[in-house]
Amino acid sequence: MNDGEWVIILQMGLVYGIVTIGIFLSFRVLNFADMTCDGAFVLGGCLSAIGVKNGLPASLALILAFLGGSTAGLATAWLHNFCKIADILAGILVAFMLYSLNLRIMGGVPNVTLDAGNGCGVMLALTGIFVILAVGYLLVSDFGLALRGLGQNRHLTRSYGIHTANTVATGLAMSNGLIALGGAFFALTQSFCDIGSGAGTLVVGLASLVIGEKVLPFRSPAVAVAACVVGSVVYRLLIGFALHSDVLFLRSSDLNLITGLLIVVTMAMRGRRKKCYL
Amino acid sequence: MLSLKNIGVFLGGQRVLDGLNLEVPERDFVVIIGANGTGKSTLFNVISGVFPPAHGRISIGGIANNFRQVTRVFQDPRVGTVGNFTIFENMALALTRNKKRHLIPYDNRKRREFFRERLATLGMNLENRMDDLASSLSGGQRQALSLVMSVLGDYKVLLLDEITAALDPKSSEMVMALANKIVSAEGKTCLMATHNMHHALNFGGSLLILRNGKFDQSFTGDEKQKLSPADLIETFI
Repeated sequence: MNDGEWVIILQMGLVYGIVTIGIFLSFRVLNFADMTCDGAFVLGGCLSAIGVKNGLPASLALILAFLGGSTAGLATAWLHNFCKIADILAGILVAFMLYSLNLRIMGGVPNVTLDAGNGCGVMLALTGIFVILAVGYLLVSDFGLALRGLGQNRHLTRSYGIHTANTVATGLAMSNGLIALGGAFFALTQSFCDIGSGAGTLVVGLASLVIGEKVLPFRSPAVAVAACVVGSVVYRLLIGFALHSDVLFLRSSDLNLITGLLIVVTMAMRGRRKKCYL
Repeated sequence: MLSLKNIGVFLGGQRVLDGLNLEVPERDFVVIIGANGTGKSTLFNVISGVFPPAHGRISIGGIANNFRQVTRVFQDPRVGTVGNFTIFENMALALTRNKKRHLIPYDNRKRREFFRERLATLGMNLENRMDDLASSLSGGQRQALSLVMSVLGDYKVLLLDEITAALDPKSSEMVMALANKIVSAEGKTCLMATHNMHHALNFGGSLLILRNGKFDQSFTGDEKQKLSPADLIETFI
């Protein structure tokens, strides 16, 4: 691999690391199988791309993307809490509807290209560190304890005065906000946004999540959050090596197969899972 | 303190509670018995606000539907504690009951000392195992933990829902003695549902028998002393 590829691995690792933290919040902390992410990722991408195209500074475009993703998370939470739709279906519905919305945001075209070199690399690194610290801190706070408790035992948390619906909504808003933020960084660093770029976000995030849990099998919430990003970078490395090794005869189109197998193999190694956080 | 007026509950078309009335003064420890399916758990669910009754009024401490002031120990210790949380985390979650949960770290020395003090009263050495997962405790220890947790935050009414039903005889006696100690020390209103006739007679004050959706018979603390477990079992028929 050449230098350029290393940079891309690190960059993509960080972008999807932020996405993985979002997925960690819904799937692990809240124990909520949230399928909104494929849509939220693209939503973040097109909001930021259109924002930057219309002269918005990158930082504001990123905030816009985060807020957009949060709104999508709130929509899923609303479907779940008030319409009593199962978590998995609520997310699928929102992601499905987001497809149309995303196309509208992009002005009816399936992809938008940006001017290259808007220098988001440093911002990405700083945001990545900030997100790890912020979410890590959140999870060791009283509020975070309530969030984690809710995912573990709804009967108990209700009897200890935790408002189930509101807490789920807050958690999903944060989770999808982060996923959209990842989507926005993807669009800004790659200088394009495509309506299809969200496909498989959940699977890639889950792969990173399970790899991170194997690499850093500690219970501490702060470590678990950092493990998301580490897992995401390791995932990119594994994919990079797999595609580069001539003996394996793999092509880049085999990516989904490799990713799927990677998840299956990692999840099959259950031995150390018990020690993991949540 | 706790007042229920004309409570009615229907579950799946079945009448579970029907015109139930109850007045429990402050500091009273009331025991409720009744066959399976007579609505003891439903009653507790209504008192703790899990589901609203079809009709009737509930007031706690003079305030209608004041469910936040009701704390509860569940039958299954796995429901009353979070298995994947450490003992400390469980206690911290319980402590912030009815308080705003801020963005401040839940772990601090002041809390550790306070929890250590509380856990020490159990005499189970749990105060030295605060960083162990709750799932590593035995059923009896875990139920003892959920008892201590239930009275950590502020509350007015404590509900004990067949708290010894899932335990072996020895742990059952231990947990019941502990519950009695905690209830007397706290001096708050307490309702206990039980299937254990010895516990029903030996602990608490007045005894109520739930049948056909309402309290069918009641005994004061003094009347209860003259009863035997066999007398109580007859009331089930």
